[in-house]
Amino acid sequence: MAKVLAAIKIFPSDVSKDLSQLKDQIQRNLPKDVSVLRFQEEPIAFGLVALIATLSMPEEISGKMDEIEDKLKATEGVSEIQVITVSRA
Amino acid sequence: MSAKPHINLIVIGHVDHGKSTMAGNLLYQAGYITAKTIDDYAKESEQTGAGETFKFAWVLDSLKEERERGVTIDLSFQKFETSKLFYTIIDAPGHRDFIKNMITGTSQADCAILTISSKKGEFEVGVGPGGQAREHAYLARTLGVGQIAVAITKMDDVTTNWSQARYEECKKEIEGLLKVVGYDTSKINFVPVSGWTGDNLVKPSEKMPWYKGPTMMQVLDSFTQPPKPLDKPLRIPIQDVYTITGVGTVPVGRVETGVLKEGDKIVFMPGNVAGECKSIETHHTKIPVAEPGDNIGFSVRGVEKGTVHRGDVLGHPDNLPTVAKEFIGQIIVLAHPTAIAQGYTPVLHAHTVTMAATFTELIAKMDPRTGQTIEEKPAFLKTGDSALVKLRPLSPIVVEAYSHIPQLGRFAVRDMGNTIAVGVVKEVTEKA
Repeated sequence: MAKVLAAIKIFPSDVSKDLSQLKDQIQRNLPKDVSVLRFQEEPIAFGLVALIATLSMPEEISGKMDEIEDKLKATEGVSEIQVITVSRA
Repeated sequence: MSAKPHINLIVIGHVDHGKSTMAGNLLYQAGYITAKTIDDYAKESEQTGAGETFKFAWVLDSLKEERERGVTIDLSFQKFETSKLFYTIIDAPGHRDFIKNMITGTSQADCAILTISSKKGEFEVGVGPGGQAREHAYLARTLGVGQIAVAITKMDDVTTNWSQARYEECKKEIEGLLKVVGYDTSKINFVPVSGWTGDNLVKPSEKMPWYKGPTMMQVLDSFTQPPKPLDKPLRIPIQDVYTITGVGTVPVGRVETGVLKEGDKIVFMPGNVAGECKSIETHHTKIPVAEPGDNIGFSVRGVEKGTVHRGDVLGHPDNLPTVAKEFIGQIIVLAHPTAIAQGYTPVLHAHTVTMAATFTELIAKMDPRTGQTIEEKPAFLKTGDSALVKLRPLSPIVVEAYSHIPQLGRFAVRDMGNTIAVGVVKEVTEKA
């Protein structure tokens, strides 16, 4: 089954948010057939650090990306998300 | 990280048209994979019944599995370099779900290779109604990919048999498709290749002496890093807004076009919220000037947090972002279960904004092969149709004519979790 990779920037709800805790919360909230390949931290400005999650998901299941976006946005500690790129694995 | 210029290459085309085999063999011939690796994978491929003909695709799949397991953790996306450029490959997913993310994603493709099989039957499906070659050609244009090349694959297939006549037949058809979406095909290289045998990937093919053009590798090296759109008006779609103690209101976004300087007078649209840019940072470093591609946070004077939101667009007061009450879009309907009629209200996605929008008028239906109007004021549109339509967002949003600022002139139309259509803004007909 083909996989799709997505790099998604995740903005924390607050500058002081603990990012390791946020990573755990994100991991727990994602659908079971979606895996986090890695998290990177991107320093932005004035102490604000965003997370970039590289996710792997099945391609064929309709609505998987919507589900991921919804789950990420609903995760406590997440303010907004911004998809950077998607590609077949 | 390589010091060579970086470029994002998107590989588009129908699934099973030889994308993986071509890419695998190209990487092999360019020396990124050893012969032993290929042989090992070929054996594995045969054992699973996939057969030897899949060996190059198998190599890529196997490398992917390693990536999945985190073995080569730096290679989340495929990267390789030629003598001139450092490439990141974006392999366009076949599922339409992801098209919205390709339209609104911040990392955009600089160049594209459209792969299409010359094999009898496969080619016809790819360019036919609903075929991904057709959709992806439109997608590439919508994404603003200026540099494109075409790989006509599977030239070794028995139905093609290295035939110049078949190549010319395929080329002519694809030229038509690309012209309709707005490409100047006289500047596009059409390379007949075999991903399997490697003909014309790196070395000129002896089987196709009639072909005098460049190899795929030469085509890749002919791509250039596009210039930054510094001379366009400033546009920064806002991704998020923070209040930071001691700093104040800090909007965050990626500069799409133009230049933002410290001390600039700025305006957020559509709210018409004016202020002044106090200071700019990227990667926690203060910078006096932000340019296209920079991911920045900036502190503003005179702007309260609650008055600026994700989806707003920042500009300068002397060249404000265009706020559209209504606009004309040129769309292609990718998939709709029934038909689109006047009054249909799906959800529009453009840059960082998401807004319900009504199809207030179906202006004209166009022939996807010629671009000619085939029906004025059609009663409905269905899958595969290309059309000019009037769209009215529920609340005014910032969009720009694609011809003026392409970065803010493309959109996806979604409904009930499906990508219904993609399009570009032809003209903003009613400004707020």
